[in-house]
Amino acid sequence: MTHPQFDPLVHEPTRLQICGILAAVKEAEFATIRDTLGIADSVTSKHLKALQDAGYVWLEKRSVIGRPRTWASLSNRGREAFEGHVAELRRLASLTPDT
Amino acid sequence: MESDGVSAQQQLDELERHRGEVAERLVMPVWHRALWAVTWAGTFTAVVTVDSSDWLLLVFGVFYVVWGFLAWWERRRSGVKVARQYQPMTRKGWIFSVLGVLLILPAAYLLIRHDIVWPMVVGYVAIGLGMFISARRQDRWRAEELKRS
Repeated sequence: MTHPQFDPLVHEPTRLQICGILAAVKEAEFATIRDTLGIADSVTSKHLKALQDAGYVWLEKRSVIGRPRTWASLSNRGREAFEGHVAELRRLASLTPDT
Repeated sequence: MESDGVSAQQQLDELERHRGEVAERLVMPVWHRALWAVTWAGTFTAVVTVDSSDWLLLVFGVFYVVWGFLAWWERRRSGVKVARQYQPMTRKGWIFSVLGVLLILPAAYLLIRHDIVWPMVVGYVAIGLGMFISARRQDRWRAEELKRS
């Protein structure tokens, strides 16, 4: 069972959503992340870079018919951080009484 | 802490919503799976009916290009790569495919020796339908698995 652990890096809403997408797949294309979250290229890049710098995400550029595309995947460390953070969110959510 | 119980729940809901959107990308449109099934059924039919190696080569060449296009389109649409997981074919898919394959051998004999076309058409359609049904089911299953993960 995952230990609930608050992670300030993952907590930022856009980064949390990026990790959420990556946690469900082996890898996702840059444009897919951008379009799913409805954010700009620069914002996507900035958050992916932050996650990459922390060792949470791997980025790989691949050329498809001459056009370079960036693919992102969650590292083991990133997956652990994300799962721990989601467990913490669940714990917090469970503290709120039902209305 | 910035996040109280309510905003934590909101973030969890957002996570689920986005995951659902990504999952839907794994479901290919009907035309894609229909073309895929048509070409696969065509390979079975071609193998048992085409007696000229030149024609067979041409048929496979065309199908190969179509499969390349379909694979490229699928990757472009989904924008994600998921771990390979295969659900076994559905019962309906099995019935159509096995019936089609069983039918296609005697059908080929009737076509080549007696010029009777309809059993071959029925066999071709049965295989195609079996593959189409299975592919659609497989897409839906993968999407549901991703949502659940």
